[in-house]
Amino acid sequence: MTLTIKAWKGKVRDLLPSFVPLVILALIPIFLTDPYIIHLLTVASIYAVFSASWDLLSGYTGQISLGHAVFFGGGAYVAAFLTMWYNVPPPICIPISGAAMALFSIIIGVPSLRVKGPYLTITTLAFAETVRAIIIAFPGITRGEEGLPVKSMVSGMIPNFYISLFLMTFSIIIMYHIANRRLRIPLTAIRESEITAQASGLNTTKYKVLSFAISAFFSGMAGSFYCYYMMIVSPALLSADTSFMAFAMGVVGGMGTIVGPVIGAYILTLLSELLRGVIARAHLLIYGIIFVAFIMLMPEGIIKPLIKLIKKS
Amino acid sequence: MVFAQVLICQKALKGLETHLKKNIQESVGLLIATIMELIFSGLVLGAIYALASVGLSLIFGIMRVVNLAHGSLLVLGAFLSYYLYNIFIPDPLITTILAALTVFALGIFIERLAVYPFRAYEMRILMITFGLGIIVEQIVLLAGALGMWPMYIMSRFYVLGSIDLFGIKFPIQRLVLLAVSTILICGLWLFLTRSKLGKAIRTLAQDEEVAMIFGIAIERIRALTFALSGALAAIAGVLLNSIYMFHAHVGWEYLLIALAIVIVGGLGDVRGTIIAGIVLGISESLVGYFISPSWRTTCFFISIIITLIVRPSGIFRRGKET
Repeated sequence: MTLTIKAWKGKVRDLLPSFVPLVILALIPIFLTDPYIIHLLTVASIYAVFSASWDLLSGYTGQISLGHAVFFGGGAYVAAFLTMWYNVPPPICIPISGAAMALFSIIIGVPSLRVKGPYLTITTLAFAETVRAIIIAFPGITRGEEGLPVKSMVSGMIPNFYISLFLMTFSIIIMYHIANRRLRIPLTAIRESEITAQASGLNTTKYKVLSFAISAFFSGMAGSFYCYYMMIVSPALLSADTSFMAFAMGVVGGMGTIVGPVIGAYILTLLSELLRGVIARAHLLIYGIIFVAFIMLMPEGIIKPLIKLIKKS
Repeated sequence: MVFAQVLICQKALKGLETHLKKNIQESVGLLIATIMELIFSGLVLGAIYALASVGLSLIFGIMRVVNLAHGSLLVLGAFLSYYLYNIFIPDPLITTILAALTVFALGIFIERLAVYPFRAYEMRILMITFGLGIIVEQIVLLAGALGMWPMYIMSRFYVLGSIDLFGIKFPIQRLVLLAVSTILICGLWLFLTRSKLGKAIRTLAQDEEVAMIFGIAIERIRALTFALSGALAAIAGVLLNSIYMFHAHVGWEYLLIALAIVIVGGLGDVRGTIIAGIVLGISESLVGYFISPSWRTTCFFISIIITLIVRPSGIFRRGKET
């Protein structure tokens, strides 16, 4: 009995530092009423989910996916069609589109996860580009490059902000639990050495597909909320640029940590806005430069020095 | 997007309709002529695609790494050439060479600064080149926003007219494109097989240690290969731009096409890449006519998947599988 209490205390103590920034975030609308900052934080929360889900696949299993936008944009399209054709209420749409993307990822994951390393990266990149081309090829249904208008879930900045915050917290806790408790050993075993993992009797394909599906599920949820928030879905959501956002946030924050990409998402979103005054219309250029600098100089991301700093103080 | 192709298709279709009314035999002849024309335009495309992908294959052969900035460099070449053509020199040959040289210099710069120091980490190089691809794409976009060039460009260089041979029309423009790309591919082939430098590149691709023993300056060869592949991509971009319209984002599509060709041809195999480029170019042209031009990306993707399932080392690769 005392043991479980101790374990619980330990868990609470472990989780406490991550709740402090969350509470600060939740209180921000009280102090800052600038709608633009609220908007940025909402978008950053959505990208945090997207980037963390990318991290669950690429950071933990080492299978670098450069086409993750296919799940983000795919989820957005599924949600848009569900609301448009069947009038499904948005709160139900979000998990449905996540599940649809998980199913979709299993269908494409089984053949493409057989290949390794650069081949997988190429396949994912090519896949996203292909789905984008298919969406553009049916302008009768998807309205091509213009995109579909979507009804918003709730009106107003602040409700949307809290919903995104809730979605973020909920997804991150689940993903953190999955990646660091439930599947930590098989996933990291695959990353360190797939052959060794196979030799010790681990069904690597099963775990790779599983992490692919979980990752696609959360990406799809993030994407569908994004489309309700932005009130539009367009094929640009599936472009290499969008995949790159998740990728850059994950790398800047720190791959293989789940929490890292969340920090990366907030840092990059806010930083690119700060620098927008310097170079207009070029936030992806700034992302690109920061990203390349991080890979070259600090491939572990920002989280490790951050943890050290917290432990010291 | 696919103006030239659509134009050919429409012309052929119109011709097909009127002839069907006359008699069947003639229309069958016309269909064959249409298919021949399609195969010809596919051949042109394929030759340019081969030119665009050979560099990717060479880089993979030497560094075991896929350069994901390749597509963006291709688009950059086309935009630079367009800019030079508009501003300074209205001569397609000189602008193409200047654009290729600029991308060549950029290639050396990238290789020295961002690829060579990380040669031990393949995945990191892959990520860096992806990031660089995004940077180049965004710079092209930004320059467009600043008014250096329009958002959508189409090469100003255009030769009108066509040659009729056995009832098949050969547009002179395409013939020029075919000639240029064939000359470049043959030149590259001769360079790789005959010249000392080319032999050094091939030796390095086969075995790094042996190359070192023979006293080949590996660092220099790596930079040269990277830059050469960029320059070839830039030239291919200029050539492609007189068939298809370009936008900054289009680079990823051409990256996908080049990757498909390289995978089908066998990563690192120059000969296989050239064959695969021509085969896939012809198939793109046929798919574009009989199904729809917007399915071409899908066609390339399917060829990647089939190759990975059937023979991951490349369908047109010579010799044993690796």
